[in-house]
Amino acid sequence: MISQAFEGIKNLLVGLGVTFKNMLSQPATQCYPEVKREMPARYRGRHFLTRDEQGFENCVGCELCAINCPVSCIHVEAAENTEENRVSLGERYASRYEINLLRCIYCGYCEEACPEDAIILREHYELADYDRDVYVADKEALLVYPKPNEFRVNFLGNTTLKN
Amino acid sequence: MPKKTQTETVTLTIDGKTVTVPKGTVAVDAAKTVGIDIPVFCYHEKLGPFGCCRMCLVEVEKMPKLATACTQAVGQDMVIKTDSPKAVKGRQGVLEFTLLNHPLDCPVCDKGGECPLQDNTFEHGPDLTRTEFTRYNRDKAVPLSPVVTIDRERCIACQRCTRYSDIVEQETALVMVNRGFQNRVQTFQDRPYDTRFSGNVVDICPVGALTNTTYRFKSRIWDLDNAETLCAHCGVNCNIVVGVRSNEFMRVQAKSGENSQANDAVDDGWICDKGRFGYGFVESSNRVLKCRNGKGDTLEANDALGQAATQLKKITDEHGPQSVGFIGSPYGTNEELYLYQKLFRQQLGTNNIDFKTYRQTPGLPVEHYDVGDIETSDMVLLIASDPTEEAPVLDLRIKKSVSFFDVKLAVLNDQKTDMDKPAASSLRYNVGSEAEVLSALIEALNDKPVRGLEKTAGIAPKQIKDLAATIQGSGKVCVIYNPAALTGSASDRILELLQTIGGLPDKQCGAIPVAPGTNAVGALDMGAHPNFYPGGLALSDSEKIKTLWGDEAPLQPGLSALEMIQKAASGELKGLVVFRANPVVDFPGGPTVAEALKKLDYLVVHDMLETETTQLANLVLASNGPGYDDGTTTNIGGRVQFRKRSLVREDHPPDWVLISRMIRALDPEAPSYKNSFGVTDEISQKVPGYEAINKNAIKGMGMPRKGSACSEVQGNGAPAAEKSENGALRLRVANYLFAHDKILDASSPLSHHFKSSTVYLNAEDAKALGIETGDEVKVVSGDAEVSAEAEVSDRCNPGAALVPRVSDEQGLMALVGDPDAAVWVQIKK
Ligand code: SF4
Ligand code: SF4
Ligand code: SF4
Ligand code: SF4
Ligand code: FES
Repeated sequence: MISQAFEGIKNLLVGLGVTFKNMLSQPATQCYPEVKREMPARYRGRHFLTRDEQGFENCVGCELCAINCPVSCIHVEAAENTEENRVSLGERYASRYEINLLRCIYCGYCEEACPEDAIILREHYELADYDRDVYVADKEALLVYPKPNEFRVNFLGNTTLKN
Repeated sequence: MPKKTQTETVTLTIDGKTVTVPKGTVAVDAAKTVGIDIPVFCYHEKLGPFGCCRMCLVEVEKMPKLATACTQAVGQDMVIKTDSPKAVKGRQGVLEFTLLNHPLDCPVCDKGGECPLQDNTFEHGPDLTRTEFTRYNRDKAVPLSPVVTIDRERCIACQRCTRYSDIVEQETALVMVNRGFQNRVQTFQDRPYDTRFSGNVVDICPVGALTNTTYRFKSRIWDLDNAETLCAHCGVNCNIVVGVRSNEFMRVQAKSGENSQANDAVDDGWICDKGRFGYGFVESSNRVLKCRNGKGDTLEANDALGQAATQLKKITDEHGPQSVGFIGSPYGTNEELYLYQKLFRQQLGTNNIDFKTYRQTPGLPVEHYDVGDIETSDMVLLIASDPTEEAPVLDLRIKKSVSFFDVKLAVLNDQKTDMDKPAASSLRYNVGSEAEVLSALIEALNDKPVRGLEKTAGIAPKQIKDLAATIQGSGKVCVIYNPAALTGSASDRILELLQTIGGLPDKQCGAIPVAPGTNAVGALDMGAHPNFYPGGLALSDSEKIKTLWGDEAPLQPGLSALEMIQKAASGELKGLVVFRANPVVDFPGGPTVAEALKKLDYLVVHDMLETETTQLANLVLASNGPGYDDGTTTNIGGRVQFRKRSLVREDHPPDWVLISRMIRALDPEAPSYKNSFGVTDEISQKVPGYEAINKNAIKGMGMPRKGSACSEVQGNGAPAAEKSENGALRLRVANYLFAHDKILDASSPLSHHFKSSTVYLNAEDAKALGIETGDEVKVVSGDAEVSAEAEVSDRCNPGAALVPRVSDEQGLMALVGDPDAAVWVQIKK
């Protein structure tokens, strides 16, 4: 009986210990949206199309991302580079590149498939908007390249950045 | 290539499976029969063994080294192992070499996804590469012609293309030059590779070296919805695969071993460049997309067809059934033409139905041969036909038969053609003398003395006798002729000739009429003829007609297309429907046809492209045409195949719907059809010869319809040749495959083939006229004249001027009056 009561008090103290420890430690929650979480480098958020050092697009319009996408949400049309109009260094480039970000399941298979490291999924997870139409991200929307963890307040319409 | 008649067989073992195949079969093909796939690059079943790429290495018991399965003819009791460690390692090594300098282009290569090199490497290649050095760089994207591009880095030197050019098209236009790393596919002196069949190399190249320039980077192959369908240009009706992406036309491929089972009964797996690159009309800016009336107001399709039907009915009520007529087209499908003739015969009560300007009656006195029968014939007699320009893939088949199946080719023509080269004998008669020549040949075949022909036909009696002897000495004779190039009574003589040959002792004889148009045979079968009901029922066959078509069926002979034009000019014909034809340009008379059409009270033009004739119409009905509409066509060999649509138009009904609604507008009881096969089923009930044709029967390879018997062959005796007046030359209108017309318009990728107007004169005539090659001349007949550049050549005999139809603008048909009478022209500088 006594030993039972002793056991109970001990467990109570252990529990309270956790409570007191957490009372004094930093909270895990963050005050989003004032504070934005730093995502791990390999987080699969929004897609971006990359450029090389000279500013040419890396994408060659090969559609491997599109065929690899399990939900078929990428549409690519290719065209040939010419001397007057060189968009990428290869023979062809994507004249049209669209991702339906609502249909996308953020699996990252497109990034996996890309032979040119042209499409990447990054830590940008703020994807809310008021207008469904903006979710078909076209080349213009995908070819921006914000700094790591540099979030846009609003993902397509408003391009001001929050530090 | 083993002869098809090979009957001896051998039995062997491949990977433990027992196989029995005809003697002479190579191991690759033998393995295929039991589902074992031996990888190949250079081997192609239509090109035969070559053995240069070593991809197909297999182990053969008792042979010290690995053998190439594509050259190894199988022998009795042979034991072949395709998966022994030695064979697997051997193939791995070969692939490593093949890939030594191959660029890593797959993501940007048009072949990617359907590339044998990719597939073979994936299945048989090493897992990792050991070649991590800089690769040998070569020229990329070099145009071989405006429609074929070569990437020299990707070429694996399998020589399929060069051998194709050598063996199949027999032009030797592509050759392999240099050796080792430096070897490359090249044309003579780097001239463009612009044969009529150049596109096929794109299909057979096992890598992305030879690519279709018009398809370059337009899509990846996995984007495509492929429709196995038919080419809609000439009468061969080659099987093609049309690739479409999001309802946009992308490319045409031959239906061949590369993507499906080739249809050997039709095209042997090859198509011509017009079939491959001449498909732009489906998205031409010149398309008729909406129905409209003469004032140009757009009409709903249903309103327009209702107007057409009631208006035509009104005319027949007022002026009698002979006052309306229908000019169809050999480009319509069986369903479309069948429904139109039904509308005119049953609802409007007239036989004024036609589709052509030459004379031809349905039916043959001998069997109607399939294209495949050419190979098994002993002799091919080619009369007045120029397959190279008129039915290109037929040209390939004839050359193949001559080269590989020992078929004797005899050519009888009034012009020099490409077929003279493979021909064992070739006779050139004077333009316009075909009736006489055929009469003489018939006499010779009947062992009668042959009259002198030198003066009138330019052929010695001995030549005719020799030809007759060759025919008599051959067991199976296939006669190929162009009914549209036979003038005067020659259209009867040819039937008489066929009857004569067919009647010779121990003789098999069949014929293939090669008229212009996709479906000329079908059009005749469907009764688009003023004197014949569908299935070749002559009007005199009234009993049968009445059972099939009811007691009301009109039995009064109708007007031919040309007579309709004449009656339109004289005001007797009031209403006319022109379906996918352009009489103003294509009919003899040219501008005078336009005058006649303007006199009509009511002209309905049902077409898919704007033409000179649609401009005159009181009502234009939009036609979707090939690409958009389903239907069947009957090819020159009498084979009925299904032309599936590859593109969809939702805003306009297909032609067969449109026409059947016209019928229903006049007869609400008339059937409506669920799909185009509903019409096909009705055809099988109503058209003698088509009983067995239905959706399932014609699936895949199509099915020959039964040809109708020929009505009595008329008359005998040669006509007197017409004499030239004051040095005039007899005009021969020849065909040119890549004529610049509405189908191949200025934006066509084939525009580099367009030719300027040329008149070919024999040296004798040219000298008399003082004309030299390159002179600008006028070809004059009456008031009409056509300007052309003169070319002095032996293309035709003296006394004639040969002008190929090269464009609509040329205005050549203005020179021609009555096509039955000779056309005499003056050549003026
Ligand atoms: S992340 Fe996955 S679902 Fe989204 S586009 Fe890429 S492949 Fe498609
Ligand atoms: S993003 Fe990559 S995979 Fe997609 S089309 Fe461009 S290059 Fe190809
Ligand atoms: S171009 Fe193609 S078909 Fe011709 S040799 Fe090279 S790989 Fe073979
Ligand atoms: S031969 Fe005739 S049917 Fe065949 S591809 Fe050429 S045009 Fe078309
Ligand atoms: S396929 Fe046998 S050697 Fe090329």
